[in-house]
Amino acid sequence: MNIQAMLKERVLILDGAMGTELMRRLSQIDRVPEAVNLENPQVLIDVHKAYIDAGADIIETNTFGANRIKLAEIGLERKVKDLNLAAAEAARKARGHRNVLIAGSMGPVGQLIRPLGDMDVESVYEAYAEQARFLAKGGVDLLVVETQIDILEAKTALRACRDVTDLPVGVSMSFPLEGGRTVTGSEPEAAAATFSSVSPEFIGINCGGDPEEFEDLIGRMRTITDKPVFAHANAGIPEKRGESLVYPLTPEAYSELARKFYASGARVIGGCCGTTPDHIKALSRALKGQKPGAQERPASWLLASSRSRVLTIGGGGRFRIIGENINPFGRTKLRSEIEKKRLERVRDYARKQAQAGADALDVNLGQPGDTQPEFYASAVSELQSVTTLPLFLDTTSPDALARALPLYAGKPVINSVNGKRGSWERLFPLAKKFGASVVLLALDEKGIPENAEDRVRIIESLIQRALDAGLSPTDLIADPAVLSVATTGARALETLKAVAMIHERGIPTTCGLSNISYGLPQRRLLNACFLAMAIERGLDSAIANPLDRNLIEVARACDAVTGRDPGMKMFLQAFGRTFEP
Amino acid sequence: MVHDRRTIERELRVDINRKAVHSLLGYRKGQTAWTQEMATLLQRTYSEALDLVEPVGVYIVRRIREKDDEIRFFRTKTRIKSRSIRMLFHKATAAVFLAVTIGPKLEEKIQEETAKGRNEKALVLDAIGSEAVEAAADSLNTHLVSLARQTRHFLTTRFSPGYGDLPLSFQQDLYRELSLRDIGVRINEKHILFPQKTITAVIGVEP
Repeated sequence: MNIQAMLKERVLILDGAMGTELMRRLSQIDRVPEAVNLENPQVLIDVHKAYIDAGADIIETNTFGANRIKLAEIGLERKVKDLNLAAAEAARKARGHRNVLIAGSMGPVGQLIRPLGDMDVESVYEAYAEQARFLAKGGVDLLVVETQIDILEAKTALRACRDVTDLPVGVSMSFPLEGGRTVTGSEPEAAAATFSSVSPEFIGINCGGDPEEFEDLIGRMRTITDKPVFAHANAGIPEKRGESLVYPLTPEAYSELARKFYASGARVIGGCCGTTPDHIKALSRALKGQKPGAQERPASWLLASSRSRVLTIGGGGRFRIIGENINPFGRTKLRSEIEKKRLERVRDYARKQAQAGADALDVNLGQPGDTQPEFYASAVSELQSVTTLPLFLDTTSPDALARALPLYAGKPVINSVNGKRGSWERLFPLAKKFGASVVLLALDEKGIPENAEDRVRIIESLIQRALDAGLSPTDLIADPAVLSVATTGARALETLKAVAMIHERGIPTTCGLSNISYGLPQRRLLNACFLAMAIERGLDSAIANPLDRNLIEVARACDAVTGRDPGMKMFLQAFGRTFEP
Repeated sequence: MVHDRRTIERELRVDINRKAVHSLLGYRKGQTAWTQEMATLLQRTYSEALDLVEPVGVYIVRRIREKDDEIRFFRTKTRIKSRSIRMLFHKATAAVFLAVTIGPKLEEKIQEETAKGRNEKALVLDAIGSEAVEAAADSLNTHLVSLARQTRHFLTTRFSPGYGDLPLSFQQDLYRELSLRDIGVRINEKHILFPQKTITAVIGVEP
C-alpha cells in the first residue's frame, strides 16, 4: 500500500529517534551514527524492529547525515553510496513482510547556502540528488527531508528528490525560536506556502524547541496548506544530568502531547530526539487506527512567501500593495545604474517601499535584451538580504527566471504569464518546477481585448492551462490589464467590469495601477480614483507606488468601507485617536 | 503589441498646450504685451476651435526583417532608408507606423474666416490646430506606450517624415501603409497631407 492511500485512511505512526537510541544501545559511537550502517548493521535492525513492534507504520533509515557535504566533514564523502544502501537494506531486513513503509531520512548538509553561508545552490542540489538516488536504489518507499533550518535548502532538497526519483516526499523544518521560527527566521506559514507548491506528499515540523508549541505550529501550517501535516517532536528539552543529556518527557507524557498534535490536525505523528520504542508504543496505543481529521481547504487566495513571511492576496483579506518602484521605466537614474549592473538604487527603493508599507515588491530590471539573465538572478538573490517582503519577478524572460527561481528562498510570483502560446508553454512548467505563483495577464496573440468578456475568457483558459501544468489555484492571480485613459475611458470601464467578473469567479486579482494615468496630468488623483472604483469591484491588490501616501490611505479607507478590515482595526490604528491604557 | 493589424482610434484626448499656442503666435515672455482684445479673442477661439477638432488616429505594428542599408519589414513593401531612423531603431525589433489627424472642420473654418478678412482669428485657429494635432498624437503615443508596457516593451521617441534625413516623401509610404484615405486624409504629389493638421510618424518597439 502506498502512503497516499494510507494517509486517507488513518493517522500514521512514525518511528522514534535513531541517533539517541543508538547511543543508548552502544557504549560508544564512532564519529557519526551513520558509521554503524556498515560496521554494525545488526544493531540498526534491532532498533527498527523495536519500533515496528511498538506500532510504527513508517520507519526511517539511519541516513540523516549521509549526504556528501556532511560526510566530507569527517572524510567519508566517498561512502555516500555504501552508507545509504546499507541503511536501506537494514530497514528492509527489519521490516520483513510486515506492512510498514521505509522512509529514507535526509538531514541538512550542515552548511548554509549563500547569502547566509558559502554554499551554492547547485552543490546542495547535487548532494541531495545523489543521496535520493541511492536511497531509491536501496528500496525505500518514500523520502523525508527533515530537521531543516533553511527554507531554501529544504526547497532545493525537495526539488532534487522530485527530479531524480518518483518516490513520495515529505519535508519538515525545525522551529526552535520564540514565536515559532527557524533559526534562519522562517515562520511555519512561510514554510507551508513555500513547500506545498513543490508538491511534497506531506509537510511538517520536527525536533528543536519546546514540543508544547507544536500544537500551535501545526495549526498555523494548516491555515495555509491542505497537504497532510506531520509532526515528530523531541521528548522535551534535554537537561544535563551529570555527564549525559536526559530528555524529560516520559512515554505517557509524550503520548498526551501527541494526542494534541492529532487534535490540531497532524496526520503523521512520531518521535524525534530522545524518544524510544516505549514512547512510540504509548503513542501508538493512543492514536493507532484513528481516522484522520477532515482536511479543510485553504481559502481561495494567492500565496506568496519570502524566507520569513507569507503573503496572501484575496480571500476577503485586506487590499495589498505591491511596490512598483524597482522599474527603470521613466526612472533615468535607475535605468543607467542597471545598465552598469549596479544595484544601489534598487536596494534603496526596496528599503523605502518596505518602510512605506508595501506588502511585496515587484522587480523589473528592464527588457530581457538589456538585462543579462545572470544579473537578474543576482539582483533577486541580493534583494532577499535587503527585504523580508516577497518578490514579484517581473520579467518575461524564461532565461532570467530559470536562473533566479532556484535562488529564491520562499515562494515568489512570476509577473506575468499571458495567453500567447510562447508565454504559458514556457513559463507554467518553470513555475511548477520551482514552486512559484503566477500573475495571469489578459492578453493573447490578438493583443488586449477591448471588452471584459474576452479578457475573462483569456484568463479562464490560462487558469485551465495552469491547472493542467500542475499548478494549484492558490498559485494564480489574474491581471485584467490596465491601459492609460489617455485615449478613451471606455477601456478603463471594461477593465473594471473584468475585475468584477473575475472576482465573482473567486479568483484573486491584481493590476498595474499606475498605467491608468500614464501620460496625463494629476496622476495621483487618477490613480487613487481608479483604485477606489476597482476595489469596490473586488480588486485584491495592485502593483502601485507605495511611496504615494495618498494611495495607501485610499486603500486603507477602501478596506474599511468594504468590510475587508474587520472592526476597522487597521484604519483606526492608522488614523484613530491613540490612547495610553 | 499585435503585429500587422491596422487599428483606428477615434477617441483621442486633446489636451492643448496653451503655452505652445502662444509661442506659435509670436508671444515671448517678458517681451510681448497682451492686449485685452487679444486675450478675449484667444479665450473665445479656444472653445470654438476645440468643437471643430475631430481627432482620429491610425496605427499598425510591423516586425523588422532586416536592418541593413535599408530597414525592411515583414508583410509590407514599406522600407526606410535613413541614418536617423537606423540610429533611433538600433535596439528595435518592430516599428509602429502611425498617423493622427484632427479632421477637416477646423481648416474649413480657417478658410471661412480668411475669406471674411478676419486674419487674426484665422491665425489663432491655425495655431490651435497645430497644437491640437500634436496633442492628439501625444494621446495615441501614450496609449501605445501603455500597451507596450503590458508586455514589457519599450517605445522609442516619435519620429516624423521631414525630421533628420527621413524625407518628406516617406509620407507617401505611410499614406499607403495606413490607408489614410479611410480616415479622410489625402496627399498630393509634393507629399503634403490634407487636412494639413495631420501628423505621420514612426516609433521603434524595443523588446
